[in-house]
Amino acid sequence: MAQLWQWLIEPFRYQFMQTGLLAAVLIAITAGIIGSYVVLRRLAFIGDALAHTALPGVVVAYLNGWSLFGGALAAGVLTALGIGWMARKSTIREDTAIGVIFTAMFAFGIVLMSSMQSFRDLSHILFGNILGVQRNELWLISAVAGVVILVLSVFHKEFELTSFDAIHAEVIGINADRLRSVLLVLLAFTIVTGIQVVGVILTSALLVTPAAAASLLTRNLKSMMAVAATIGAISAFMGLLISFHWGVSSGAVIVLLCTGFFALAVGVQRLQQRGHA
Amino acid sequence: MQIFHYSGRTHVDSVPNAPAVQMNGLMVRYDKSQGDVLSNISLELAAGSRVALIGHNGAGKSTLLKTLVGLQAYQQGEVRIYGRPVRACHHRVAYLPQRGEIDWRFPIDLRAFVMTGRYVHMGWLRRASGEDVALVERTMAQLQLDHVATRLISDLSGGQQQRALLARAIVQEAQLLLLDEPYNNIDPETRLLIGDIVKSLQDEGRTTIIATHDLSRLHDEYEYVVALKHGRVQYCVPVAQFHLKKEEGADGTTLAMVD
Repeated sequence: MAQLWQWLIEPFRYQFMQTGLLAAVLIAITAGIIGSYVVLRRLAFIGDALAHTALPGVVVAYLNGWSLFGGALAAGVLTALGIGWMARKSTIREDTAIGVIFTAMFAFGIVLMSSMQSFRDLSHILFGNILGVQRNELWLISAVAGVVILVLSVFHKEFELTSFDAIHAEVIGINADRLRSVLLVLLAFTIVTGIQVVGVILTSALLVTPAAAASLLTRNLKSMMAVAATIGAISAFMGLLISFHWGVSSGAVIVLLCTGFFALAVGVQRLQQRGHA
Repeated sequence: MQIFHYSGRTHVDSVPNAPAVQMNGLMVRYDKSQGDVLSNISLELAAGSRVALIGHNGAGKSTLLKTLVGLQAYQQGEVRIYGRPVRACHHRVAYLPQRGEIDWRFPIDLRAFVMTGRYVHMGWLRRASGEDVALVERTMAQLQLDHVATRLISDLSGGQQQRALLARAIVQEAQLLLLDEPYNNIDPETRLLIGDIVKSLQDEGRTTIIATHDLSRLHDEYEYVVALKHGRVQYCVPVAQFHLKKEEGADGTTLAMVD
């Protein structure tokens, strides 16, 4: 027992582990909450696109000595607004347009990256580096989490309504397109912080997997958000511990733990259905 | 409190003695390369009347309803709802969409779903009041939905989903109700229940326009019949002047003709 306690507590004697843990848990909670909309509104592909298009933003910022976070955020928000605009104006199917544009942006980011001397710093962008989070960045992450959760809770009933019946929302005077754009911008904020934890490539898992697991266990949006946030937070905490003790990539472990919860949820749901039958 | 409203356009007074719906030379097209979906529609429907909107699939029934509620822009003509422009007052018009327009797999129970009909009165930031809750409960009971109030909307039968949509439209307490095919794919019992409830709405002075293929109780349930054909008004007559002559249409729907 004392040994287990030691295993759980010891890593957090280090300040970088404390900071990393706080950051990872905050981000996972935010991702679980907004991820519920990603799952229910079928935005997973857009989420993936937003994560990938952050890459050129980061690289350009790096080359110019700007803030990497700012670069990623600018690219993410631009993409979010661009997707919203395209969905309204374009005659090309939305998923096709997203597919074309985000792979191009990602490729552009890779080209820029490979033209530089060292990949070292930017590999963190691809795979995440939660332990590299600085104390001052923690403020930024808290601010993002705070804003996302605040906006989603203040306008909960409108976001919920436009998610299953945009037409009724329009009829009663809610601009569903504008709400969708707001949601995509919040998503971009969340994703840019998520990149810190699990990297560009795995960020959409942080959004989708906990929420997908939660959707199997809950009957309404609020509880789905709560369960998804919990799954994300536990995965982030355990992932960091496992990564510390066994020396493996924390981002990948966090994602795999989320996947484990998803498998568990599938099992629980099967049992419940059998119970009813 | 104005600041909470979704738009500035709620609780606007209607023009006294104005007809519920007035259309003059209305023209709608989706795309310049295509023909008109609706052309030269001129209609006047008195407040408090029950109107059947009939015609083949593709005749323009849904488009007409969507135009009245402001979901579909029009290119020519003029539309007045109780003497005011379209969308001048969001709480005055309720719209019941075809069932396929809603994501029924969304995790929300029936009670919460019906409550969304009250949102236009609540607006931003505000929650349901005791009166909102009471109205929702009363309406669910009226539509025999109270025993499934906590069920997810995905677990409802087709007839229950249709009644849920009607319940939501009713709790909006609108003056004008536009119902798009409320009788599609439902059981006969639900058909009669919805018919009776819609009829009772008139007693409260409401106007109903129902797009439908179901002509079985036309003379019982409606006062006027508006028939659309290829986007034009074919007939607009009191139901007493309307005699059914049944023919099988090419697309399997029943043709209705005036003698």
